[in-house]
Amino acid sequence: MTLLQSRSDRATRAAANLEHSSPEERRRRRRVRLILTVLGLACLLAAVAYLTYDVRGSWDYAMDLRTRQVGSLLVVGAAVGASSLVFQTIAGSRILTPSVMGFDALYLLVQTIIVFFFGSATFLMMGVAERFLINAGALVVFGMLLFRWLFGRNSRNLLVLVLVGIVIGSLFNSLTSLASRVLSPNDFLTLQDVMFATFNTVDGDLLWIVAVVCVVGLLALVPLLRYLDVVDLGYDSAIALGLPYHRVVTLTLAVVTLLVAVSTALVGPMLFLGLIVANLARQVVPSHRHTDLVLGSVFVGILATVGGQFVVGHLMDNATTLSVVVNLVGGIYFILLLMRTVRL
Amino acid sequence: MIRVRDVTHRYDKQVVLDEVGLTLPVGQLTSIVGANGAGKSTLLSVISRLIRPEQGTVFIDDLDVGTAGADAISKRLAVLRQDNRITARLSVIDLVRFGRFPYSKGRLTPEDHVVVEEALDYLDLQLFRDRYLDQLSGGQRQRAYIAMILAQMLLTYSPTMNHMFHTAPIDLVAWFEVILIAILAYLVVGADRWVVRRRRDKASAE
Repeated sequence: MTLLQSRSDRATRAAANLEHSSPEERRRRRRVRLILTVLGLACLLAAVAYLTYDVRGSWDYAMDLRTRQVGSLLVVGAAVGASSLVFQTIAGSRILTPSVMGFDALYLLVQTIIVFFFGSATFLMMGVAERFLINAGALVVFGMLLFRWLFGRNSRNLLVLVLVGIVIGSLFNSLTSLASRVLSPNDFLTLQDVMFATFNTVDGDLLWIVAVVCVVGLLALVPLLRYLDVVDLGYDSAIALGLPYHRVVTLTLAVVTLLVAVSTALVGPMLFLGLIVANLARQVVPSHRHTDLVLGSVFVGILATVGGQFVVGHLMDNATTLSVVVNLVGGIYFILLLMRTVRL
Repeated sequence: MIRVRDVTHRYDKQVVLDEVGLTLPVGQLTSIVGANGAGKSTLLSVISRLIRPEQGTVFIDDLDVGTAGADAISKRLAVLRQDNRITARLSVIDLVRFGRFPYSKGRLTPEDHVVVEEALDYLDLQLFRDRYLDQLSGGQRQRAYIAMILAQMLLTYSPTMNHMFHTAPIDLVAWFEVILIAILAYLVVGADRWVVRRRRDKASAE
């Protein structure tokens, strides 16, 4: 009876965890915790540095602008980091991330189609928030349909999946440009405006709603993390251990599409950011638990966006853009990864 | 007891299992024997619900595998496969703890920890508990998987079982290795019947 009562007791479990772990295990836990703390502090430092570096003239103005910039960088970094890492897990591959599979291209396509069918007048009449929510909702629905179908068919063949993802991505891109060519000039301008938002000019309203959605998405991920540890064992083992596999994968995919909508709405597609961030996080954080991995990936994502934009914006005076740098570094990394795994 | 009733499954148009029925009784070691492509692994996959058959049902005790909750089945049926490709960086103890997933969904209770320790003891893995799986030899790794499955099958800590295994730990390892070899070689009795039947079908069709 006493055992039964203690079953629900968190503290007892924690004590038991401690009691039944070896010194080596505790040392490893401490190391993971230390690494996560350092990463978190580095994020904080990067954000403060970005805010306060070389402010000239009015502090109020600089703070207002920079807070919005840092805010969007934080949201993008966290969304990309978390979504890429869990996507890797459910795809069962370190090479597949949402962007590689064409998620953000799909977001742009959905947006274009909405403008195409309803015209920019309706589009502009809606507030920024409504527009984002409609886009995100449509993306979740289409994304789920598409990727359930994809994973159902070819889930065993990595090369086919990468290929399909890239083909789908460029298909969506050309559909987007086709649709935007057919649009009236007015509609097209509106679309350009929404599609290529940059870090430098972030709409305050949009940032708010997107930040809220991002936090909701991340929170929705928390109860799934324990199950994702089991998903990492592979389909067969997960089923044998009684994991409701399809439910976990579907829910995770829903959260991933939501988070992709978040980051794409703020900065547009960044093809290889997620790939670098998630793989770096897996290397830096020596743990198999997704609570650690996702947190690490969120931190690494924030470091990459805030740190990267700091270098590009402040140190290089906007001589180039963050997307260009990320795609250059990430593209090379992607090719290296492909060559190592696939051995062409 | 595992009962298979009228299970039919095909890949594309190729019928692999044709109304297969069999009963695997408790406390016996069963081998399934058959020619290549006779459907032995498909049958095992259907029983362990990795594949959902087109027709027919599988019962574990009285639970219908198709409709019973996933965790109810996983408390009674463990699966050990010959190839386990895990990419995550897992230590032996991490792996064995996954065996308790059907019971505590990843949040281990004190009882779970005791069972995990027992499983490690039975398979003589205490020395390797903190080694990562990729640092183990093939045999040691298989033992780690067996420990996980043992942790999955032990309901709770039970003194009699403890006694049984402690008096004959070697036997236990040997016993599991027999199963292992059985699964590895896909040797199980009874398949001949279907092979024969399929051949006959083919013959009559021709």
